[in-house]
Amino acid sequence: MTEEALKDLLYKIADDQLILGHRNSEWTGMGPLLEEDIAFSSMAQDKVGSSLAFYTLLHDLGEQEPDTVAFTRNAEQFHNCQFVELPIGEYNFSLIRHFLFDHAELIRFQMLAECPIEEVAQVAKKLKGEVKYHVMHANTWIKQLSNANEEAHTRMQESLNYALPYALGIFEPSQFENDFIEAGIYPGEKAIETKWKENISKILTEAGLTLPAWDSIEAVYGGRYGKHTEHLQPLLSEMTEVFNVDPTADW
Amino acid sequence: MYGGGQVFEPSSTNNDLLKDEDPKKLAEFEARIARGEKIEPKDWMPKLYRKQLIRMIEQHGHSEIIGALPEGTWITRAPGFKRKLALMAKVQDEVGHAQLLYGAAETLGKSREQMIQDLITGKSKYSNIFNYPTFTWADSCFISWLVDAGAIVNQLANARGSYGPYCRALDRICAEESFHLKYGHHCVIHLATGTPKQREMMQEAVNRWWAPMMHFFGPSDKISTHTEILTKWKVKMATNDECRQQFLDMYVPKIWELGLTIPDENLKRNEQTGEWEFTEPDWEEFKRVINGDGPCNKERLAVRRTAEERGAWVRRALASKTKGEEYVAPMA
Amino acid sequence: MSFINSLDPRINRLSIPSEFGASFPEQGEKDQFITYEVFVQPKENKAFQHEGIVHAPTEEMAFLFAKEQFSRRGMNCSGIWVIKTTDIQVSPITENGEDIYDYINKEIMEGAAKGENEKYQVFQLMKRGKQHIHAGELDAHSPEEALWNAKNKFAGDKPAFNLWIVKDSVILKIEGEEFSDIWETLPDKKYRDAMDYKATEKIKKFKEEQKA
Ligand SMILES: [Fe+2]
Ligand SMILES: [Fe+2]
Ligand SMILES: [Fe+2]
Repeated sequence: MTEEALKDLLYKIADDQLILGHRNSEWTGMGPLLEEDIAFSSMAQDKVGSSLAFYTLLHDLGEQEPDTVAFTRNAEQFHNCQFVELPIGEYNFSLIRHFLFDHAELIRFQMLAECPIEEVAQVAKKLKGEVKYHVMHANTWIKQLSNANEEAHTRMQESLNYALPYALGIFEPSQFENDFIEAGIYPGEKAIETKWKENISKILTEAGLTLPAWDSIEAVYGGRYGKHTEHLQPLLSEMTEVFNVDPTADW
Repeated sequence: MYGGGQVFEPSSTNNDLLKDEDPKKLAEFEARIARGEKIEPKDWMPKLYRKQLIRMIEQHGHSEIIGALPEGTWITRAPGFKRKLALMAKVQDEVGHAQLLYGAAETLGKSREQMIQDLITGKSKYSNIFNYPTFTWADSCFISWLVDAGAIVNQLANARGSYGPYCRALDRICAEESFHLKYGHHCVIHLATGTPKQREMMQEAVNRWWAPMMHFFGPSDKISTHTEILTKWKVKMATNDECRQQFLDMYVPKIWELGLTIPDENLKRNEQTGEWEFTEPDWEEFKRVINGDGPCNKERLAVRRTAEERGAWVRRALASKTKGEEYVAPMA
Repeated sequence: MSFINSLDPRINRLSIPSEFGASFPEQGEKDQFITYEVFVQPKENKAFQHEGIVHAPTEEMAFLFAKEQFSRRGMNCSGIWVIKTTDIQVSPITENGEDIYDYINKEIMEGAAKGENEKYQVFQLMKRGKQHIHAGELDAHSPEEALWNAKNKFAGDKPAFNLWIVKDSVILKIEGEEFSDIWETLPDKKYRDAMDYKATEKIKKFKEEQKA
């Protein structure tokens, strides 16, 4: 497998984590209840922290410093799926996104923990513990809230329906899909997607939410290769506003 | 408390509260405090003690949650990974402090819902300094370092107070504040010793924030029988002037060593008395801002209200899970 | 309609009407949750210690909240127990440094409703003003019997000032092998630690440059 392929994989993971962590941090100080404000902020920090871990791996492969990579690229240069760049919306959407994304992330990290590339396996092994808590958090919230009352149920179902096409975009195949599978890096996006569908439908059923037929949903692809919604560039401009006052300065 | 001055207002009702107390119980209570023992929620306490503590701890809690806003402003714009992670954690801590403080106040019998209600309806106050805007990244650095430094002066004093749950919350809070202080100082050092543009940003922030910072500790305390008793009960642990002096003593040299100018020509340490001298802060402005006419009062409350309103459906839904189970005050 | 124009882009995205909250009605129904007491084990084989409370609708959520409010810092955490506040039986608190165990005698069990023999956990307050610390567990047919048994098992040279007794079956325990990995990255969260912000060298260098 080529280094180019490995970078392709690491970039999409890192960019997903950074953009979703950034988005979720918008709730810090404005959450629906104090304790949840704190918990959600921790998970946003975990995401930004793990993006840093992957940018560091990329730096070791010859890419630029993590700060430079994260704070100076334009939208077309980002490899995150469109799902993570969508605005935070109401709490129901942020929760559903957290649930759908972190289930995929947990499977991804579990698979990468077995990766023959030692450095990648190490990072994945470490991070899967914190993502396990994220998934516990998400599962509990989805189950508690979705059957609490009609208002909550409706909100959760609507968010789920809206989120699913984007969520399937997480698994947009890489141009190196076969290389990964052949080299045993991880079993590939299709394999994550299959396991993911199994895991989330179990929880969603317990929560009393309805999962539409999978073949009725069209996945939103494009993010992995620079095609983004109108939301990403403004997010990046905001994120880099201070950094770009002087990118060479030590902040 | 996060800033001083406006907490202890003597009133005739307060004196009445004290008159009916059982003298024997009152004597035992005061003896316990004199021995340096903490008062715990289930212990007997004078009504006035309870009332003043609730008010003080509640205001402290409000200051934390509102204080999360001016710095939270910069979360999505913090320059670089290190700053981004730290600021997220710092603002998160402030929300956590509110949670701890509300918990301590709850042990005295006021529910958290009621406290939050009193905050967003404008019935209770929070630290005045958070009614000022953070125009640039450097403003947020000023807060992280120096406003937190001021808060620490206050909080360390209060941590020696008499009410157990409040002291325990403050111990935890002070441990976290040391991160805030170091982080804030680190940020300011980088700006002040950085590029000309960075230096300029930092100096402008100091210029903007010095007056609110001097207001932070409140006007000189009027000594009355009322404050005397709160001092004796170890509710009030230091005067506003003591706190301000301690702050100046610890931090003015640290600001100066970074080549920053403090916008007060009269600021100097009197070598004879060891006291800091400064231009008397504009207390009319202080009063005006406390009474709602500051640059950000409206926004701060509106944002807090919006957060409460947007989260209402979540709390309503979850509360239905515990229908029939009664809320009781927490234990310690 | 005009909106609040904030310096905070997050707030501008909320589109808060400028007039918002001119009047804010008192809520009819309070959405106050019940509270759970949180106990944290800082390290394997160390005693659980009371850390504070969280407001939560269920014990699972209480745990989710407790973890981030009370164990997001430090080098280690190996377990969390959450207990509904109303599930904890509290002894009186003693005066003048007296040992609470001196007040517990056999008669305490008279008239106590006898239930199944089951496991109880005991927490002691060893210093006024400090936290309650887990002393250990015992079997009893009632909370009263648990107090009596606690005296026989845990009374020592040092006085305890207050006791909390809880049925083991009502405690939500997140601990052990199965959960140890959720705290694994704790030591990596250096950015939450004051130690990670040293800058004396930078100041020194700056001062030297100023002098030159
Ligand atoms: Fe933190
Ligand atoms: Fe604080
Ligand atoms: Fe702070």
